[in-house]
Amino acid sequence: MKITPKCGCNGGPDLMFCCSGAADTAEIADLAVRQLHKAKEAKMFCLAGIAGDVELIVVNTKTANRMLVVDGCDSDCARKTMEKGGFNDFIHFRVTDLGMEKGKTPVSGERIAQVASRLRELLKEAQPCVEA
Amino acid sequence: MKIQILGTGCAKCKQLTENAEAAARGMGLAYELEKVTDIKDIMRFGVMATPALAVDGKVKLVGKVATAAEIRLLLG
Repeated sequence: MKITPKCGCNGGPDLMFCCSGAADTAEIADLAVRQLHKAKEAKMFCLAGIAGDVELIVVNTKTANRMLVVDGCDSDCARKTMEKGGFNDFIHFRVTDLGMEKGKTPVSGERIAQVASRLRELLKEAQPCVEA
Repeated sequence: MKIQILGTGCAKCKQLTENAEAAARGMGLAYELEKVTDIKDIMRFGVMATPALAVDGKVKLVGKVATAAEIRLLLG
């Protein structure tokens, strides 16, 4: 994993975790999170690593300054995965809460941008995670 | 046992080093302490924040100055 580490004196990175669903709303969630990641607004991190209890993923997640967990629908797979992994101090967002209906929302640039915009707002409003 | 402290040398790195040595000495462990300060070498460990602590090349702690008591749990 090629990561430039941040000095802990100034707090850890802002991390985002996204569900890995096959539905249209999950795809929108994924692409919106990747948009923020590519713009270096926050770092997309690996939900599967939390589920698999991969040590390096877990120890790095504990350093998060703020954490955003994004689900495509109300199955809340990402939220549940994080909680099962012992992480509770995060902001949770569901794409379907914006009125996008699972299975009936074709993926479009406009919808991705709408979700990305909401994620930016949430990160701005978020308080830093409580130190582990 | 090799204890590696990853960090560029700030106050937190130094404190983690002291705590790690206190933990190892308190447990009577034979250890070698290595300070990894070069950013390229730190990146090879895959850590997202410093300071970090690795034991025999395996990252155990990232972005936090753990107490000696907490470090004992990682070394045990």
